[in-house]
Amino acid sequence: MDKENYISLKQVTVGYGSCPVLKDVSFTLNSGELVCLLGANGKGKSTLLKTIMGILPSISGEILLKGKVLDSISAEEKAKDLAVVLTDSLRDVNMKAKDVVSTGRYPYLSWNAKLSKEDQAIIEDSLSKVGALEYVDRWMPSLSDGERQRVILARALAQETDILLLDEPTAFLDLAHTMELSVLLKNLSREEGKSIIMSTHDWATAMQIADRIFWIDENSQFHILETHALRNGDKMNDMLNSPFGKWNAEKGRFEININDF
Amino acid sequence: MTLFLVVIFIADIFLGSVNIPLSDFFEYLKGNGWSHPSYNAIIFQYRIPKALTACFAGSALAVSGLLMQSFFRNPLAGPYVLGISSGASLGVALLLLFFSGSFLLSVPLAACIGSLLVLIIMIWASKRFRSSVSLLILGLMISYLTGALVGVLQYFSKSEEIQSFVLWGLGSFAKTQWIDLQIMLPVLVLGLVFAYSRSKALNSLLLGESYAQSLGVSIKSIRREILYLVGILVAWVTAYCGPIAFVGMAVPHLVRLWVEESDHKITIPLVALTGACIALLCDMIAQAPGFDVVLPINSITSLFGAPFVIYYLLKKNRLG
Repeated sequence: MDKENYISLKQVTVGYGSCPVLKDVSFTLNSGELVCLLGANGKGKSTLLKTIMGILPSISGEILLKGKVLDSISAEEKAKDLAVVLTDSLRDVNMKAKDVVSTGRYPYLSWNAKLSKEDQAIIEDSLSKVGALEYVDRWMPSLSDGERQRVILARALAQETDILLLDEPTAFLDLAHTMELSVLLKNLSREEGKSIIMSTHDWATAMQIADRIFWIDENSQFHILETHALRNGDKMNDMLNSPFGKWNAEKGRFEININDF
Repeated sequence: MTLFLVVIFIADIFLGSVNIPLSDFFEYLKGNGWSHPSYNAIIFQYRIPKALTACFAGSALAVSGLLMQSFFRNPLAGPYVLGISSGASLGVALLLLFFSGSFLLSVPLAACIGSLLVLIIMIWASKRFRSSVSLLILGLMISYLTGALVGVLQYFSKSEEIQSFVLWGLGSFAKTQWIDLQIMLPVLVLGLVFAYSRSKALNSLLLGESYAQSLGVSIKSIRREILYLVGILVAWVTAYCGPIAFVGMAVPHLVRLWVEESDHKITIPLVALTGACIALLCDMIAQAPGFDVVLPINSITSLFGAPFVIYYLLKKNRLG
């Protein structure tokens, strides 16, 4: 499969109003790439994602989506290229799971939102991919955090976009569900050629699934790192910068310094 | 539901302080005329316009409530909460208490000016406030503010003026005549149809503004549309019937208890129908069949609406 350039940022500064949170971000993301966005809280991970989503205007710089300037694309067109999973857990949303997933089809529907047979099939397919078929008729508030997260992901999949942006999708998940989601995302990028950016605090998962890691350091500098280069270097420990644990390059895992206590 | 509406509509026409037997109506349909000459006037000049007013006012208020609850993602939202009803009240208070005069269409106009003023403030605020919660709080504050202003106005007014304002404030479906209906109904019908046409965007909004935006909904324009729509619907109803509490807030909940649906394509028509039925029922109770008095509509809707909303919240909390 030929690599296609899906997202490209040139010297982008993001923030609220005129108050910049993160400056001079530049990167390109191709089809089939899975990137994890890491960095401490408040360093601008969500802000950057929201800006690429077009929910927040950028302060300066240029964002291209499939070669087109983000601001020049209509909201309807963008919705066919880019789907999102936000940090909002949708806990209090008074909708059934299947209705939440149905909204994923809305960019393709006219004003009356009538679902065709094909739409129904896509919705069912999305639900089955995340293993949420059994609770289609349940109400969102009655689902557990993990179940709800699957529904939210199915909603994004139903949008059938080439690009997926996920803001801390594993935040509410236990280890088993985190691994399940990781496998699913990896498959989506590998087999369906989707471009995926996922913000997370979970370094261990990121090291295993990401092709590249975007890292925002304490000084709000944006770094692009090749995951395989991190695995064997000391760079990882510099980045981690914690007295409580370190990266074991031989074993390829993080180790907590239990003996120090 | 539609059948139920028709039954209530007919019952509402025939019940009242002057009891008109149904059999008389069938005689009239056969061309035999009424058994009492005044019945004709009571039915056509009073009861039918009143029933129609109740129907459409109920629908409009209930749909306004639904739109606001979806827009703010808050089950407590309603036309009262955004301060639109209060704005209308202030307009009417200024007219009746300050200028102490009323001419044709003056009350509706004053109400519209009042509610539109609040609306303009809300639209202005909606551009500046990111969160809907701030907007909701602003609406509450405006309600208090206008309430206080109305209180001050009343303090400085003559008692006759206060009486006419208080009468308006009690609410009634009976003040509209055919000529009023000709102005009122088209606006309300257009508003309801427009609300229905925005079902898709409203469904997306249930997920929150960010998700709606990611689905291609323009938040700015849907926000403006909903505010204008709610503002106009509520202003028109308030102008002609006085402020009517709880229909807007309670009817969407009533529908939710009864059908498990969140799709606005289904809920908007249901809420409109239920709103019409509830308004007619309240009107029937208000005219207290068998007695010579007519109770104020606003008291009836509050008497039934407030306990219902409390019941709903308790039930919801137990489930949640």
